[in-house]
Amino acid sequence: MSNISGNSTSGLLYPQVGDEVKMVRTNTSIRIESKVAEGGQGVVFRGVDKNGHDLAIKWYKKNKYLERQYRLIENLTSHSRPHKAFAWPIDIVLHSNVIGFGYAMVWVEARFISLVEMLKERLQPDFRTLISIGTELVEAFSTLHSRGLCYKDINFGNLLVDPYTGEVAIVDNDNVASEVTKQGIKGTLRFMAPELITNSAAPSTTTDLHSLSVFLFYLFMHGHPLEGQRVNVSYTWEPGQNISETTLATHFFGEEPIFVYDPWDVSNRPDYDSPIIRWWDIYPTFFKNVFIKAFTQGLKNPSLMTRVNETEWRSALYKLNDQLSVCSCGAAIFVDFEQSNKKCWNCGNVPVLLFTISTPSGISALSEGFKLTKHHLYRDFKYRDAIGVTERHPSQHDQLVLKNTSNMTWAIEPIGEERKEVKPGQRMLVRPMNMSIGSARIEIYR
Amino acid sequence: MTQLNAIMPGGGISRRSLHIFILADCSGSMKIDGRIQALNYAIASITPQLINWEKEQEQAQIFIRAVAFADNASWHIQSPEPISTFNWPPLSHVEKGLTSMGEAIRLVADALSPEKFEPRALRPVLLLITDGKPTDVDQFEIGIKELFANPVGKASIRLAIAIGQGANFSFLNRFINDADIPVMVAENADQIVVKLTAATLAISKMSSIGSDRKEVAEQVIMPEANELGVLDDDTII
Repeated sequence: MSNISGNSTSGLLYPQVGDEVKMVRTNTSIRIESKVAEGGQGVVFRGVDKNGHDLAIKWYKKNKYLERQYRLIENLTSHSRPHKAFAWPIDIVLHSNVIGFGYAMVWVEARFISLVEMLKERLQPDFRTLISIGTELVEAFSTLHSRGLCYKDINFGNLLVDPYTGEVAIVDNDNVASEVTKQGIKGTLRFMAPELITNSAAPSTTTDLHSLSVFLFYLFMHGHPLEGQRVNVSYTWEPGQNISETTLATHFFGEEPIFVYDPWDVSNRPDYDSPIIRWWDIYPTFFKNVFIKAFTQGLKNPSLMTRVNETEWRSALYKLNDQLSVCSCGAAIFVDFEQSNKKCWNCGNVPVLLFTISTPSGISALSEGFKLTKHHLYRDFKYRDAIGVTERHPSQHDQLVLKNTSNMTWAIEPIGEERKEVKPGQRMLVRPMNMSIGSARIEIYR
Repeated sequence: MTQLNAIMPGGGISRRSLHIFILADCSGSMKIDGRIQALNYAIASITPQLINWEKEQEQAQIFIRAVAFADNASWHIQSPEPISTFNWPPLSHVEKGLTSMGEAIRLVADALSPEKFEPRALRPVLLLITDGKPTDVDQFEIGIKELFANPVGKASIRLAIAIGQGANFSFLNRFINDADIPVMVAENADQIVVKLTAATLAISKMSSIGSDRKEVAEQVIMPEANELGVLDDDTII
């Protein structure tokens, strides 16, 4: 380890704007351009390397854990970035005459805003973007966990999103650790797994899975999954009744958590004015069931099996994306194949289904933006390999076309028409038909 | 037909109110060294910091109220102003004005009475800024008694900034009534903005559920942290 706790010749606690810091492994210099933020642990600067690329530099304040932090960051820099969403520590940086150390990480562009800021906006991104944010978050956690690392402390401050592209940026990765330790960051209470709050477990992949489910609940339902009427009536200023916030939080998030939609316990349903009520109703039954699993058996009996893991989340989000449709009133809706008479949240009518597509992996709503993927044909979990994309008809806006983006020719047999071919790059009008793509049989119907 | 323009439900999440009460000294001595102007400037400059903090977290929705005190105390901002649209009407000192700090505390204690204060709110924050000591000591005694007899007042987070050498710590410490939280000292007018910035960070940290006030005070209010310039809520203490 370098001299991180020796004497400073300059007497300064931090590098100054205009100074250079050096990355220890590559020995390359980064010029400090501006101070971005300052908090309890340290200062964040924007720096520029010799190729003109922006980097973020976090410089630690002098503290008694400095050597431990150094080893932790050194360990993280030895791992490559698990997923592009992480603003991952690239290398330790040192300054020639300022004691202490910092680390360089990817610069997060200004198009990223905090997730909670996005959720508060009146105009929400469309469901495909919300699903994309959720999927990216799940994939980022999955790659982290598959390397034996865990995040330990995730909260809204760590999570940034681009509300237009659906991309995610996870910052403050110095809270990631492989070692299972109770020391250091304890976590943000409202996002912590119950067993962490009650001190009966150490941070792990299992505890991360709880935090991930809380995030996804916030993303789709706009509220906290454990904060309902039961929690709210406990807030009181009556003399002798006021219990400290920490005691309340420990009780309701740690010792005795109850999901707001627990099917067996209605005592903590959302408050009458909670946004959760409206959002919860919008989603299809299967998707709500995933949250019920996460916050019933996953709460009380924590394990990698009882909590919802990333694979389950990924397939749930993929399926959710496939059930997105539009009501004739113009509202974005989900088709619920388990509840056929479900009313539109906006107009209150039972929507007329446009087209349904049946593939070897199940039935989906065929609406604009729907992607036919390899998983639909072969159930091989290749969710990202699109072989067909649904678009609006270029001239007749009330019609849809399906574009063949694969390199195979599709054989189609529209009802009442002759057999035809759709070559790679060609578009076909969406109408009731039977299709063959390789060995897979597909049906489109109203 | 288009998904891109499909109607979405409106956004928003439920949050709890965080009421911040500013108790500002407008006595005659506040004109020395431009203290009152520095105070006006400091409050204006912490507003964006509070707005940012409100944006970044899911729990608190911030409202500001203020009491000004000199020969007597009165509401400077009486109805809670949401921070997002908050505009600070500048204060001015009262020529040869006294320091009716006790009366100011009584006004706030009254606003905090359980029947007037919303049950779902987070514990309120009281921020006292002064360069002197109460000239209404009898009112001060009553005010302190009323404040701590009241469950909301007792649960509140209390911070104090002393400007210059004239401020009396024993009164301020009785207002704070928490051995872990020291009085913040602004040696001169220039330092008011620095202290108020630190106080703002302390407010955000202490309002997070599960936070340890003593730890926050050590990190944010203690001397070393007082050297900090612009603070941000990006890191965990």
